[in-house]
Amino acid sequence: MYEDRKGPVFDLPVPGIGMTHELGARPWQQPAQYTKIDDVAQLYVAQMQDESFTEQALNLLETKMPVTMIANAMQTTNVMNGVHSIDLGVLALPIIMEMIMFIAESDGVEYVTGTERDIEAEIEDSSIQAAIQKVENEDTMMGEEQPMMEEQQMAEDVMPTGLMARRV
Amino acid sequence: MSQMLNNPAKTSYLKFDALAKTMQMNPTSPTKDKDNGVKGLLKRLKQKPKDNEEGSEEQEPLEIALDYFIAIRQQRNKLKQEA
Repeated sequence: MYEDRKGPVFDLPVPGIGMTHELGARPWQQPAQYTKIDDVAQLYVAQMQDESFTEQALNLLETKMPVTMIANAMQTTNVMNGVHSIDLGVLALPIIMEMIMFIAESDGVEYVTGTERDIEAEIEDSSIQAAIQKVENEDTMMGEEQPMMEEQQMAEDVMPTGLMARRV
Repeated sequence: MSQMLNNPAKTSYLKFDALAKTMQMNPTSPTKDKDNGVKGLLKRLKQKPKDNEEGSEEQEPLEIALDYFIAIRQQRNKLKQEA
């Protein structure tokens, strides 16, 4: 079934999930609490204006933890708790990051954004693309060769079956 | 491609950043000015016109997110100018 697939298949259960909990019993398997980006953005802005959050965030930023990492963690936790969907989380990520930077700047804390250029990842991306292209080219070449081979084999396989046919 | 899986925050932030910069260059953007004389960022953000209000067009989620992003960026810029 999945032998001739070209991309990854995502509509499958994670291996071992059947041994953990029944379907729908986890918060992320339920409909999300917030379904509009407006509500999600306001939720984060309100959360981040809390004093305890500000202190924690500043402590983390002082340890040179990238802003991207904090934002990713916040967003993933809320997805896990069923607060919002992954799509809304990804849309809210820049808002969270900008807000964290705003807090850091207003308190005069130096921070690492985490958006610096990652040359290794870029090279990895291009090498993956090259490998995909190579496999696709090989597939098309194989696809052109195969019918010729099959036709030859078919011609060899067809044996005369009539009464007057010569026997080999 | 793998960047989005490894670090979605970085990828989405860079895209929003580029969009925000483009919008700053073109003042004809659909983004509205949030400075209505109300103090407090959250209060100003809450003053955004609702979808069912008269005269307001329904915005795409991306546009709404961008509105919030730009509003916070404006606050950051204001802070930098004051410092």
